[in-house]
Amino acid sequence: MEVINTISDGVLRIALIGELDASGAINLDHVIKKALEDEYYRIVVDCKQLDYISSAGLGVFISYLQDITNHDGKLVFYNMKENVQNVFNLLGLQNVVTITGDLQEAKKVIHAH
Amino acid sequence: MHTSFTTICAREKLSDIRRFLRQTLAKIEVAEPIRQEIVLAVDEACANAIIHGNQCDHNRHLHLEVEIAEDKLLVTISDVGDFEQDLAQHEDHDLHSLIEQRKKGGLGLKLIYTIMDQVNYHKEGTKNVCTLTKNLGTSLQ
Repeated sequence: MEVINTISDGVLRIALIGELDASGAINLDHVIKKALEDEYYRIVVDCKQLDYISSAGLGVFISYLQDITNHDGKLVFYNMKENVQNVFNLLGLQNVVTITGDLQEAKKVIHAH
Repeated sequence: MHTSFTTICAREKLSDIRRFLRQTLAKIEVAEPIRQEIVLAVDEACANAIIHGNQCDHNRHLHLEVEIAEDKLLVTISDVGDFEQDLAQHEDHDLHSLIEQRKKGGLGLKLIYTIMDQVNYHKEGTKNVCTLTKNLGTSLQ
């Protein structure tokens, strides 16, 4: 599992590569925790190369959602594969986070007021 | 069909468990989305046993048995962990309260219960035994 993070235009872009399970979630947690400490509350997550996600990975995002919202931030996922989208749907997460088709759409949501 | 797999209680072994499950499930003709959901549910149960039941103690082992007979899949996960979790007594966590409480856990059991048809937990001596059942009747291709 690889987590690649880049910052551009005040937006943190996280690319998830491989399978995000209870093992990989630890690294992801460090990345998001550090970003919020550095006051990056606008986050886009590139799921193009994310092949699998379990509750541990989703739990990381969920645990920071309140802080992101409290700081007028946003968390937007894009480029999601069908099997990953299905896990979001099973838990009803599509109702609490934004999922878009591509980076362009994700940026529109991030910059919208 | 009957297959089994044993590994140590380490988070890093979850990928090996998923590989074993995918190889096993590849032998039956079941729709791909169902196959992926079963792998997810078993991964969640194993992560629970490794992290909460056995505190990622690499000296302890987790044993999986997969039985497929007719249209039923039975996965048995056993360990010697000291965490007595009655999966049948799980709380159905509300997503909004998990968000408000900034909780990382609570979603795994919901996935297990949503995906599998039956979830049981019992003690056999010092062993914790979790059995997950999936009726494949309508899922078989």
